[in-house]
Order: sequence, then C-alpha cells, then structure tokens
Amino acid sequence: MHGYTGKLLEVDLSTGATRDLPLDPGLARDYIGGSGLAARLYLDRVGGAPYPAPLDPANPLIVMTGPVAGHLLPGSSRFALCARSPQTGLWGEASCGGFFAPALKAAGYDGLIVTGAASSPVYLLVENGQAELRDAAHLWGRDTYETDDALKAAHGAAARTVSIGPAGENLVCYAAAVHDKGHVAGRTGMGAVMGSKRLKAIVALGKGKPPVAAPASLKPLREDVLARQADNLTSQTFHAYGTDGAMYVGSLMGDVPFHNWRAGEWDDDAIQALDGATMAETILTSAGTCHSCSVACKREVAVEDGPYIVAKGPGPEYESVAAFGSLLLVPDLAATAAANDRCNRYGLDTISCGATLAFAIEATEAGLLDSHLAWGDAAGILQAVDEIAHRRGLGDLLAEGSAAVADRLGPAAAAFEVTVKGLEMAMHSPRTYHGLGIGYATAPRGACHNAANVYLMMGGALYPELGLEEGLPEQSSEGKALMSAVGQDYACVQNAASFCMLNSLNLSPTEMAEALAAVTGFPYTVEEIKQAGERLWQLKHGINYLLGATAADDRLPPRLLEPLEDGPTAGSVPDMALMLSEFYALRDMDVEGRPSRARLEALGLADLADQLGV
Amino acid sequence: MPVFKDTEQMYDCIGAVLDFLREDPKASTAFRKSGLVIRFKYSDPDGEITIDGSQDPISLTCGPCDSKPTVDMTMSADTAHQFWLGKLNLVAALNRGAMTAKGPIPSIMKLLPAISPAYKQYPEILRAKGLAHLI
Repeated sequence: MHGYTGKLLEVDLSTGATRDLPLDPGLARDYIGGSGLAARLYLDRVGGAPYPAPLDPANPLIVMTGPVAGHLLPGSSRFALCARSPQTGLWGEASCGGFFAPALKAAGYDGLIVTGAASSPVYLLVENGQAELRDAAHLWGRDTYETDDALKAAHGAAARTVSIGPAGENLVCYAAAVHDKGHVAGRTGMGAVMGSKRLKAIVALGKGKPPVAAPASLKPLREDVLARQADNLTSQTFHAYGTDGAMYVGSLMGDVPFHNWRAGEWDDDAIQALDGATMAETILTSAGTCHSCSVACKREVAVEDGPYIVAKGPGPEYESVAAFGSLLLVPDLAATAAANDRCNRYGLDTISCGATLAFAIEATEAGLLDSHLAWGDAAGILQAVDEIAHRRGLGDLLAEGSAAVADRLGPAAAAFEVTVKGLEMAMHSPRTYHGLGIGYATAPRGACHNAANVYLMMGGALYPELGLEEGLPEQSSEGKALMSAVGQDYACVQNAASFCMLNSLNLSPTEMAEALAAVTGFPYTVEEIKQAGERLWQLKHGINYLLGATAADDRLPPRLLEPLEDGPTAGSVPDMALMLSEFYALRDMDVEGRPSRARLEALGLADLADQLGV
Repeated sequence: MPVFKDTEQMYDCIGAVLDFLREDPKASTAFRKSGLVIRFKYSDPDGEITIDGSQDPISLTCGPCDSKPTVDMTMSADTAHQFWLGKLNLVAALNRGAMTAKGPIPSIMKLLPAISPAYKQYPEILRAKGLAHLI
C-alpha cells in the first residue's frame, strides 16, 4: 500500500496480548482513515447490541491516523481518538495535531485498537514495528507534562507521547488525552476511556515511512498551498496571533460568547485584553507548530508575575481563551492562560470545562447549586478546575459535565445548559452564523464547530466543486442546510485524511482529491471524496442511533434560541425547523432522523441499514 | 445601484469617518504607533483615500497622493460603506476577494479595536449630512 503502513495494532489490555492486523486496502479506500475508518472498525468490532458502555473494558478505543500524515503536504498532522463517549454515551471522537500521527506511522502502524483494561497502570510502547505494554505505576497520578518528560527521558527525545493526567485517571467525563505538551485530543472524554483501561500513555517512535504513490506530484501541490497561505488573511492572522487572533474580529460579528451566551456585548477593553494581538505583546514567548505546517498557530506563553503565574509552555487557543475568559466574564489573559495550563496538565477539555463552569455559575445564581463560583472570579474558577480534575468537593459533581448536572438539578437548569447531545457548545455563535446552528445540532459527536466546518460557515472558505459557489448572509437560515451537509461531509474527509481544518482555507476539494490520489495511488476524484464524506457522516450518525440517539437530540439548546437584545446579533435566531427539515431531506432521512436503506446501500452501508432496521 | 452617486459624495462620507478616526485620540495613537500608510482604492464610483500614520499629525488625502502606501486595500465603495456600518464580515470579504489587502495583514487586524468606534459614528455622520436613507 502507498501512504499507509498497511498495519493496525490490536492491543488487549486485559490479557496483555498485542497483535498485528492487516489494513484492508478496500476499507482504506472507502473510509480513508482518521475517525471515519475508526467508526467502521468500531461497528465491525462491536457487532450488535448490547454495545459496551463507555467505561466498560469491552469499549474499543481506536487511535487512527490518515494517509497524508507524515508526508510533506501542509497541515498533514492529525490523528483521531475514538470510542463510545463517557460524556455523551454516543459516538465520541477527538482530533489532535502535533507530531504523533507521523510518529505512529514511523513506528509501523496506521492505527491502534485497544480493548480490555489492565489490572494496573500501563503504557503502550510502539517502536519500529514492535509493541510492548510497560508498567506505569510510577507515572500514575502525574500530570501530562511530567509524564511526557518521564517517557522522553526513558525513550529518547524523538519519542512522541499521548497521555492522560489526573482527570483521565479520575474518569472525569470530559477528560482529554494530551500529546507531548499542549497538543490535545480534547473533546468527548477520550481521556476517561483511557483512564478506565488504566492506559496511562502511548509512546510511538520509529524510522519507517510509508512510500507515496506519486511523490513528484506532491511538491508542486505543497508549493501552491504554501503560496496561498502567504496571502490568506486567516492563515496570516493565525500565524501572527494564534487562533486567538479571532477574538476581537469575531466579537465585531457577535461570534464570541459572553456571560454564558446571555449577552451580545461586553466591555471593549476586556475583549481587547483577551485578543491574540494582546497576547503577542504580553505573555507570548514564541510560536509553535505541528508536523509540516507553516501556519504555526500554536502559542507558547509565560506569566512571570501577578496572581496567575504560568511556567513557560503551551498557551491557550481561541476556544480556551473564550471558554475561560469571555464566557465567564474574566477579562484577564493571564488567568485564561493559567486555566489552560491546568487543563493541559490535568488532561481536561477546556471547552467543556469552561462551559460547565459557566453553567454552574448560573445554577448558583438561580439557587440550584451551592458553590463559591461567580462571574469574573478567576481565582475561584481556577480552584474549581483543580477540584474537577481531582473530583474533590463540588468538582466531583461538575466532573460529570453540564448536561448530566442539569439532569440532576431539575428542569429549571435546562435554561442555561448549553450542550448538544451532552457535549458543551464550542465558542462560535449560531446566532451569528445560522449554518453553525444546523451544524451543531446534527454533528455526530455533539456541538462541534470543526465537524460543522466552521471556516466554511464563517466565511473563510468556499467550495465551488462541491456546489457551494458563493457566500450566503450569515444571519440567515436560507440555504444553510445544504451548506452544512456539504461542509460536514467534507470535514469528515479532512479528518479521515489527517488534514488540519485550517488547511481547508488553502486546499481546494480538487486538490484534496489530487493529494489523496498522489499519496495513496487510489484514483480519487472530487465525486468520490464527496461520496466518501457522506459515507463517513452517515456511518457515525447511524452508530449514534444504534447507541440510542433520536431526532430529538438534533436540536440547539434553549439558550441559543433566545434572541439577544443587544450586540451585532440582536434579534437573530437560527430557524432550526427550516434547516432541520431541509437537512433531513438532503440526507434522505425520515422525520425520526433515520436514513433510507437506498441511501445507505448506495454508500456501501447495507450492514448499517440492516442493524438500523431500515 | 451603487450607494454613492459619485466620487465626491463617497469622499464626503468615507472621508468624514476616516477624519473622525484621525481626530480620535485612541485611533490616532494606534495609527501613529503602527506607522502604516494605508491607501484605500475604491471602485463604483472610483476614487482613493490615503491615511498616513507615519506623519504627525496623521494626514488624510482624498484623491491621489504622493505617500508611498505600506498597505493597499481595494474594494468597491459599497463594500466600504458596509464595512463602516459594521455590517461586513471582514474575514469573508478578505478571504473571498470582495476586499483585497496587500501588506502586513496582522498589522491591519491590530488596528481594528482602534477603528471600531467608527462603526457607531458613521451612521451619525450620514444622518448629519441628510443621508440617513443610506444607512
């Protein structure tokens, strides 16, 4: 095979056995890699009902790269961690950049399938085609940075790690897995799945490199993409200011959440204080990047004085600054950097953590919860992050996530719970971009901006080859169902291929097909990747239904259906009824959200149709 | 139908909001600190306005001028009108070519906090000129 190593590693933590499995070329061609291929392997492996509970040893954890990972195309760094989610109970996936995907392929494997649970903490070492489970008792309890340092000391600086911290060990529902330091597989609680298996870390290193089919084609493609990046506003802004460069400009559109999505405006100086340009002038020490990426949006920061000291290390992205800053009315970049640092070390999803705290503050205001939490109280918020990671005091409750806590507090709490399918919403507004509304509501893993193809929705990208030739007014729901369906399918392919979402700005779908063909030798066309995208989306959607989702889960939370009285989105609310009916029609789904057999069979998903009973 | 009936009206309106920024302490400080010379080239109607932050005081010229621009921004006059009303998705406009910018893009983005007060001022300028129908 080209692009792929052609091998998966199966690990049974209960028995300690490891086994190489061949990657079927037909499967690779149809499902490509990443979370798409992981979904296929998940369904093949679990068979039928009853489906293992998220923290059951039988729940497979699948780590999957894609064919472009490790090669020189810009933004070819991503890998996916997938399993049934302890946060949502549905299909869970987390995406991460950095350098682990190339390292895993260099170690000889396209992906890992991990089942069972070790009787005591272990880490998995994958090196040059060999796999070994090693004792991790000395690492259990340590944070992810300490763990990465210890594993690199043991295996060399070239070793790439994915580890959990105390949050994963304590089975916090939104625990993350952290790669090296600061690259995070954040969403849907994959860190808790690792914790339930007592899998402290995965280490990958090696010297292998899968050959590509047409290497001569890749260099000119790479150069074209790099040239476009140099002229692209978003790429250049992220290069200079990180993704947090979107903070101020986003606020002008009403995209940034304030006060748990209750307010349309905030103090202008406070917003500026949180912006990436401010970060560049204050706490930034350097930029960082992922494999083969010149956008280099990662931040390294240090806070050397004041109440929120942060040792030099990975700094916050936009989502983290918004989740711990504007959402909670904390106008202090150092405080958000401190919260981000804690979440990285503990292994916590910053979006879910910040959003759960916002929920908790409103619940406290409403008299439904007894807590010390208050808007703008950075010290109290940081204390709460500590408590959540260690499940101490109130943290033990908040570790379940805002949806679960709202269920316990009663119907009144639903007013300020901002989740879809149990996943807290990302920090981009569906009042501003109505297409995000249908995207959030229908993305298989929950309220995910990347699955909803945020750069398409927000106006950074257009895909004429996919039928999206011109932009639509942001605060209009007309035409957004088609935009979202096309965008979600394309996002599935980007994830499967191992391309970073930021790459979507500078790599057209035609070039995506060319890149995949050049790497794999499979003669992909735009039409084929369109079909692959829908295949992957329908597969994940279908898995959700097998795990208990219904059409009732495809909805926005009540808070986002309330119009704001002020700000750039005053009065704007997405028309979910319109968009959902159009979206279901586009997907050939009935009013219950169940796809037709004909559509599934056309996509090669007849087995899914059988299991769904359609 | 273009928003502005001719170049003179465009200079009168867009020039006025740029002049507001030139006089505003926060905006003028930000412009001077940036040192940018920004040339705005408009079409339909055609024209150009240059704001020179390398000078003290900042100079503003409606029409061709000798200052060498560090940033060249090109757009239709209608796009400019929407921008100063605060109704333009700047990221989309730049990424999709409705507005082009040649020059240090991050430096332009850094000016946004300084110029955003103009979004509330521009409608007042139009009303004062008897052009409320353009809002």
